[in-house]
Amino acid sequence: MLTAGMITVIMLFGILYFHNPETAGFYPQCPSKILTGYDCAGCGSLRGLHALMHGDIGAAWRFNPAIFVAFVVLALIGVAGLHRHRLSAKYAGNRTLSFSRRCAAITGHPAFPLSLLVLIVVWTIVRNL
Amino acid sequence: MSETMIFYAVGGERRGPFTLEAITPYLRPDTLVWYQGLSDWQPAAQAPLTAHLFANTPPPVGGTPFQSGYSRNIYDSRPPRPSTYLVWAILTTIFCCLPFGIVSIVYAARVDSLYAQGLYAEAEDSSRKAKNWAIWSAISSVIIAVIWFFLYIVGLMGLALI
Repeated sequence: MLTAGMITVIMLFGILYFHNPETAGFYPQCPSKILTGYDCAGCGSLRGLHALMHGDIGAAWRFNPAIFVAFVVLALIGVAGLHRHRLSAKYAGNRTLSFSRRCAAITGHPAFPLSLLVLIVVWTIVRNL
Repeated sequence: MSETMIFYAVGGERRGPFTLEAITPYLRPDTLVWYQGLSDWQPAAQAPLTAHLFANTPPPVGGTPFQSGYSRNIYDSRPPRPSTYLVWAILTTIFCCLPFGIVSIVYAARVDSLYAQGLYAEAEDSSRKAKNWAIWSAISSVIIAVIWFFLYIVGLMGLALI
């Protein structure tokens, strides 16, 4: 299951690398965009990722800066998860874990998902102004 | 016969109903429970349906009698915090472009605040909903992508025929 998922993801990344979403017709368009005509918070992330894969950070930022925020947030959650995993294993109380502990404290705070929610809603409004 | 649904009380408020299996981790001996067939609220350790859960619970250390204001440490059996599935909510919001991902984040946000309030069964419930909405977001975008690709192929074939 996990292997199949990973192979699928790698294949999708391959397609995304070799085919530009701006010119290739087979990429699905965002359903929210079709329905409402407005850009959703994630609109432009495929084009942005394609640009990022080809080293064009500026273009990626213009398509959707939320990609970079998402990277940071996912990294935070990842490190926090690692922290919890290691804590439960053998490093309980180890002082060198302070960085990952801080990440875990941020992602474990009840306000964390809430602020993400606010961020997404505000970004959706701002980008359509 | 369907399973008996049980209510329990947290801070004077009624919660539930949940199945016995669902609330088992959240019950402490003095948690008040009620289900159809009981004339009044009873401590979980005494209600027939839940009493067996506490059959092997030792008496409080130091011989302190049961009180509602018992020390948290004696019976601190807080269940592990349920996952918020936030990673999946973010991924589906950013890449699936459907409002479902946002619904998932709403539930993810409720998991932590409910857990902090001690409403463990409700937190578990929100956690499950967060997971389901993320899954539905992913599934519906896959379906949309497949339909889109199908239409694209049909369109190409149509062009070839002209």
